[in-house]
Amino acid sequence: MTAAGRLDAAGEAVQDDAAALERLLGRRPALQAGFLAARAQARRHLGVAGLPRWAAQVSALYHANAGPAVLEALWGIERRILPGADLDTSAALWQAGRTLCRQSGSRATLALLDALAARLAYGGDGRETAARLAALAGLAERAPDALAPLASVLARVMDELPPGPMAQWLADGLALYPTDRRRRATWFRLEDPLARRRLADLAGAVRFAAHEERLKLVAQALFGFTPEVRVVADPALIRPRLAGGLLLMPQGFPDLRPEDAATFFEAAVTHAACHGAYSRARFAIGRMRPVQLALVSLLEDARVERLAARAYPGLGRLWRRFHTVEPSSARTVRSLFASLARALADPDFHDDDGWIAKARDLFERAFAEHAERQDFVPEIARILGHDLGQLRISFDARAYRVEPAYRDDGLGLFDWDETDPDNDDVLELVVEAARLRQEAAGEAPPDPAPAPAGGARMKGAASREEGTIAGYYPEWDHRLRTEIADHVTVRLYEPAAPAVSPLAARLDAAAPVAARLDALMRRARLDRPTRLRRRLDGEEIDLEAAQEAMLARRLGELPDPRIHTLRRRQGRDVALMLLLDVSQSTADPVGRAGESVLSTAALAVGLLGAALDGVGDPFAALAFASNGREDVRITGLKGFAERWEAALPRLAGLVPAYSTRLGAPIRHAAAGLAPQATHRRVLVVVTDGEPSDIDVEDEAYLAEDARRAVAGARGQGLDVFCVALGAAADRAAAAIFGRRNSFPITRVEELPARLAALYFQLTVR
Amino acid sequence: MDADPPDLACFRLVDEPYYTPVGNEVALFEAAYRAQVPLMLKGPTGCGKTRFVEHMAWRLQRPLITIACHEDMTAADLVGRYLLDAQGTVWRDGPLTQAVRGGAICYLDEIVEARQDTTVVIHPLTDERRVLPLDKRNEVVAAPPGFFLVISYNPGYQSAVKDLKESTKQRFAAIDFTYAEAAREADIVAREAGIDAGTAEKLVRIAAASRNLGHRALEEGASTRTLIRAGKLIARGIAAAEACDMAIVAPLTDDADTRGALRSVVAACL
Repeated sequence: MTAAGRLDAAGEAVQDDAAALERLLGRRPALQAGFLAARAQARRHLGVAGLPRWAAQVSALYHANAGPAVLEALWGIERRILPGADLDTSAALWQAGRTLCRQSGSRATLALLDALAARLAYGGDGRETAARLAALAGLAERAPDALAPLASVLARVMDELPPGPMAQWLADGLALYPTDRRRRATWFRLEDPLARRRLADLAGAVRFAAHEERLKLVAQALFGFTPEVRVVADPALIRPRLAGGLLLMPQGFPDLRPEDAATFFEAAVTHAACHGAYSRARFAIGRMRPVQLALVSLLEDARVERLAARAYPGLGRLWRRFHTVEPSSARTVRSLFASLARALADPDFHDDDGWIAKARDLFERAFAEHAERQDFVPEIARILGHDLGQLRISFDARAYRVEPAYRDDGLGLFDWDETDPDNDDVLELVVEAARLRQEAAGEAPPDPAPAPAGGARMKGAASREEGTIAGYYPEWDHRLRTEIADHVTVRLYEPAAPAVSPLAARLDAAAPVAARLDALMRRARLDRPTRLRRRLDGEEIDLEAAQEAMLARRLGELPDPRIHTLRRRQGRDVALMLLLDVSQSTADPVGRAGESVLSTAALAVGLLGAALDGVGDPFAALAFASNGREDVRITGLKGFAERWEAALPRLAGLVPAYSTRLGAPIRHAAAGLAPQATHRRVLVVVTDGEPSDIDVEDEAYLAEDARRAVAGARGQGLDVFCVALGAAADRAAAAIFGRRNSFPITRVEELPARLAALYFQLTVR
Repeated sequence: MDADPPDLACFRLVDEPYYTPVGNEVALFEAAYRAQVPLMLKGPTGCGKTRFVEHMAWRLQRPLITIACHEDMTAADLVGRYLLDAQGTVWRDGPLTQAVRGGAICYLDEIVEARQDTTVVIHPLTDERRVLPLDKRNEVVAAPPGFFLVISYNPGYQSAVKDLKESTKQRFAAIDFTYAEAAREADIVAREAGIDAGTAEKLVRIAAASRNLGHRALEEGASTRTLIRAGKLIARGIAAAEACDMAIVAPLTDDADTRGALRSVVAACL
């Protein structure tokens, strides 16, 4: 049914509506003027035929108790879109407005409409605005409380997301916190880091993570070391920053288009690596003014880039692409500095400015004389800074942005600990430099010691007293159906002081089990096929043997009838990674006195380890527990290259503690196992419970993440199995690893003997 | 044996194979040859081991018999076997026996690829006996002074599965090979590929950067051989970036990140 048809059907009522509305508004002079203007416009653009329907919508909103301000705001929006909009769009607009008003009141609606109007240009067909309002109305119907928090950030959300993704982002917030109003509000206020991250993801924001692996290799190849990069979600950080041994990368660059991201991040990382390679010492601040600091950083950037471009001319071309400033007569710090940066990077760039010519001249001469010595940089900066003062060009340290954007902000080039106490001008910068350094320390490893003067700023080892960071792993959020990059921090811990334990004696006591295991292991035929020669039967003729048989017949001897070859899998080519759960629950007592789940599991691992050692299979073992996503604790029990004897005391020294976050340890173990060059690579997880952790409330979350991690490991060609101790663990394990790949052991005492079953299973596959 | 059997003439090298020494390996090789100490050449792939042997064979005026070892190679493939023909059975010498009889330099390339039970047939040749027993013919071939055994061995490929037996290893003296230093490598690339020195230098820089990734993202970095290949493509008029992609990046790795990184390295160096 067309709009006109509908109109005919409800014609009477609509006419009544319009007339009634006019009478109503006539009594309110403040509204009447707006109404009449809006009606005139509606008549002009929607036609006389459309007018009654329009009036009906307005009337409906009026009756929904929208205040005059809401009506005015909608009329204002309509004024901008009506020239291009049709009747349906207009109707959708009013309808959404009505839903918003009814669900969350006119005040919240007004705030949203204002935010919407602020981003609305004249012209267009209004569909986008209607779609956004419809998305907001949809949210209002399901979670009216969310609109008030959203109003404050709506402008930003709209800036970053087109209507479709915006609706998705709103829906994600609802999906993630369906009942928890407080946390929902933090999402819609963009206070939840996940909300910001999701926003960035949906905006197609150019994420550094996608380029990280490649760029680490590039830096390693070109400069011989791998920079540690940490993405920081702090709006104050708008340029990359060198901090201790780290490169802090802002989470987003507003003007960066996705298609430029690869080259941009490459420019940023190679530039930072240049500092690591060529900025041998940090600059003393002394009495330098902020403008001089900025100049030092600019000149040093140019110096290290020049040095790098000598060996790698392509890098020079790469960086030059980002110098887009054109010569201009405007003598502002912004334009002068950008021009100077370009002038030093690009010999073909012409700028008639006297200050730039002088700077260029000073730099070129000093660079030609001793390019490797960075102490000429502060000297030139001092002269140029002084000149700027003479030119009465003022420098605002707070508003200054390093250009081009790929360059680090320069704060990491200075030795802030040795600031002259009388130098008040740079105090603010000192605070800023220290703040982010600390923030980085909070989220990420700081440099344990102040970086040595030997140009090692990028190379500092990442460590923390509690444990060395072994990596950041993604986590799968099943509600968002997305992988959250770098969500989990895996830290390596040294095993507790190796206790003198009865483990060795217990291993001896379990000798019969060990023998059975060993026999099973040897029967397991798991490796690639080899050719067996001189067989009585087989798929092919063994030419060598056939030749000899023919020869024997000629010579009148009795030929050897074994003239076939056979391809068989024989021998062993398998690597095993054992992942042992040592969470608090493994302290539970088992069977005989003095035994716990963990000690039984340790015995089982000991037996299996001894068997594997005898067979000669590469074999590694890790223990894991977790204390929130920032601290997934891995203890190395045995590396592939280590002797088995070395692992025994560590195995004995395991102490149960903390929770079971399964996904990240699986990813970590898989990363360690995947490079093994064996025909089969087997990951076995021994756990006694379902995944849980202190910072996760959603029961399914960790299990879903673990399932994803298992799928990921299988995708890498690994075989993943689980030995589940106890009924609860078995239920969880079946869901995560699959029924065929989890081995329930209800009586934990049986574990040492039953680990053999796993290997038997492997043999018959 | 005074003269070569006629069929070894084709194994003689007439023209001098191009080789620039890295250290004093020429003197070492000559000394080992005179002292009849079998040699093992160790080094990464494509660094010039084979070319060095060819050069030395030319220098010492010996025929050179090269055997590329592989997993399915049997002792008979090396030593020889009876073949059937219309008249009856005919013994046919294998390449190793040919080399022993003819007093040639026998070069077993990538010996770890052969199975360990095959490689033991060279044992009697590598100690004082210097003989090759042919049990099927009931014959013992004594090696003339000109016979010399050289094997190549790439330590990068070593694994528990594929390694030389200790008893095999210790019969050889070893010369370690690495890639030539940058200037010399550039010379080699320029000369072999027929490109100008500037381009060759850039190629060498790419290789040096890729070797920084050895044992991390790559098994081994780009070898001198790959550089020469790239150079030859460039000499044929292919753009340098494309030639590097074809001859260096694509063969070296299938991993997307590593490929991306290598392409960036190529772009940075050119």
